[in-house]
Amino acid sequence: MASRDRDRRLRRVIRWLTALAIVVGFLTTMIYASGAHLAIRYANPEFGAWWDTHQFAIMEASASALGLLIAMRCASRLVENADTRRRAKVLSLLISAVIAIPLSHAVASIARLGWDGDSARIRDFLQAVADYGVGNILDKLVIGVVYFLKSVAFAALAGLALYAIVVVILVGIEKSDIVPEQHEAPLP
Amino acid sequence: MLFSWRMLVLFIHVSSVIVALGGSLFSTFALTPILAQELDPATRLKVARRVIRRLGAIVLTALAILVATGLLNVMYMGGVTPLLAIKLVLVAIVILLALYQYGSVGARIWRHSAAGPDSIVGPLQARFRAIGLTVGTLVLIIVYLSLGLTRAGLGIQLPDIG
Repeated sequence: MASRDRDRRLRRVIRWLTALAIVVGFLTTMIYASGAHLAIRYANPEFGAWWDTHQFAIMEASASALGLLIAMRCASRLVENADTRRRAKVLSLLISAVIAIPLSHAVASIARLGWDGDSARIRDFLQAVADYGVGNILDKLVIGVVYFLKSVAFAALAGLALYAIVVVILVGIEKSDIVPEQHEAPLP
Repeated sequence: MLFSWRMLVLFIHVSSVIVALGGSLFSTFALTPILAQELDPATRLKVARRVIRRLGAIVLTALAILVATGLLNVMYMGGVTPLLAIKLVLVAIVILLALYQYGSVGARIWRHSAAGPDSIVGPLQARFRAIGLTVGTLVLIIVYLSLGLTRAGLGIQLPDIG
């Protein structure tokens, strides 16, 4: 019963963190891509300056956190033992909290890598469909969203690797049920 | 040049593939048939469950290293192509399947066989083998795609600055 309560609490925490990462990621991506930080700067110059300096880091950190959380949630469904699953989630959460920021730097540079020259075609299409000015803004939003999603995907891949390692560690330290006679006899 | 960080990362990356794929193939095609021929059911199960647990640790660790070095390789390559994206999706599927194979099916085999042979263990072992074969096939496809990226000119074409 107690373990079920702990499970429920942990699930709630992970759900809450995922929602937070989505909201923060969405807001920062939209503000960053649309250049809306200027409005914040206009309303509150000090906060606007701080936001301008940190918005990219916040966007990347939330993308990394979201990727790690998605990986953890998907992978934990594949572990059968409830105790192992709970411990794996807790350990993954702790390690994720430590590596989220360094991982966000790596993920940011990987997500920056281009696909090919199709981005110009997308911009042209948006400018043709909407007005030139609106098309430009839409193009920046598309670039921002794609960049965010690529960051999430790469972080999720790293999160899967992390979860695999955590499962290996936990299974390794779990109490073995091998009977003592199966071990090698001690040296005299 | 005999040593560079890129070479080292690539070496660890390729070694991880060899360990993950080789371990699975050895277990499926060499160890399991020999165990079935040479050992009585109770002893065979005792050995098989320990092999599953140990092999799980080896394969999952190798896959994790594969991802870490793979991400570094992407940074060195300097671009993401559609082929690489397909490869990365396959890698994610392989890790999820391996987690299911060892974290769920393998764990159930471990639990149900603790007291000796059990009727439920046979079907679980068959499923374990089927997932293992699927993982092995996907890893071979990933290796083939990697060759396409690095050897067949389907990767990023870097400008010749020499």
